Amino acid sequence: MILGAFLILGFGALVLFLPKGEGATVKRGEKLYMQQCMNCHGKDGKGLGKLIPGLHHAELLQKERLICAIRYGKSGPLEVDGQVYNGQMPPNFTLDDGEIRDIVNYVYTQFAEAPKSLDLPEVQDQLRNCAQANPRLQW
Amino acid sequence: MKMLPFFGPVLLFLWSCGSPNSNAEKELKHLPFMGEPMLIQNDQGSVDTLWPALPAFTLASQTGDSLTQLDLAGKIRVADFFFTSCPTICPMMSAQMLRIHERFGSNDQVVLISHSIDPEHDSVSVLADYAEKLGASAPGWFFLTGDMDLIFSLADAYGSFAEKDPNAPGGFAHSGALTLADRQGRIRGVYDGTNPEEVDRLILDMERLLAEAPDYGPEAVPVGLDYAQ
Repeated sequence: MILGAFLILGFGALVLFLPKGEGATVKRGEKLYMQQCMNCHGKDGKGLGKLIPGLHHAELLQKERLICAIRYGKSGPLEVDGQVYNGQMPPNFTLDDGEIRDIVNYVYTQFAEAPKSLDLPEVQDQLRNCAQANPRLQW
Repeated sequence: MKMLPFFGPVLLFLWSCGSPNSNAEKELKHLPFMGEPMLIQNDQGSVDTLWPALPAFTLASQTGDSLTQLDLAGKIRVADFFFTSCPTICPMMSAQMLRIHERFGSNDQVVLISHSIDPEHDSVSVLADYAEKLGASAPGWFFLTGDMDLIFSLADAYGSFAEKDPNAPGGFAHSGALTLADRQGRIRGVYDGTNPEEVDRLILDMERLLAEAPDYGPEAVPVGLDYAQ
């Protein structure tokens, strides 16, 4: 009985603390990640040697870098934790703003030290700022 | 009848003790030979069955030296066809080849060869940089560059595929196949290099080939390439 009550309370608390709709965006993000990102960054997000960075690096997961890189790609040297990567990440203009949000939320859930979730306006704000912050879009 | 549950395990134990060889043979079941046999009439009037071996080649490797089929004689090899700027399946293939390299890198009976299908861009120094960053080293793993038509023909001979295609991402269309060939250069398996489970199977098949007698099976005969230099 007591155990049951605890379970119900615990589950209730979990539901209360999960932002609305988070499960759905992460689930859609997982599918998109496997289609669009996994080839290079790996199913486990670990990247490939010193050729492709892993996604567990906090500095790559800053939203301004992550969101802009998904849409506009990344070229030129990229230094992460002292390692310089010289590969090219292709831009992807087929993903709409909501799909980018879903991928970002999946990446944050799977690979970030402190998982978090962004909503659509936050992502769209950032997407507008990609071009402002760097007109050549060299992310 | 009540005794049966006690007898069952004892009988199974006896069974397994009685035929140790048949179990070992099962483990070492031979891999098939891929391709078509060549039936050649010999001087005695009977027919010899020969098997096509992979063609001869000379390509430059990331070490700066050239590599030929003679360097692979007596060794088992795994081959793939890729390019360093490939934006699609190549990183997955390289990740899987790296698994194999980590497993067999210290075994001098095993050689991995990755052929660049974009040799114009993938020079020796580009390949050396790629190999170093990937964590791959010769003589366990060679990255090869050279004449593009030769490399495309080799892809075909290895049961893979590569061609220039301006509509494909990166400018080349190619297969993600990993080809396994035995000590005599006969193809014994082709695997999907983007599928980790298939590569698990490839690794087991490599163990089988390593355990196989080098002269097992029909005699190998190198075949020419349908390619004009």
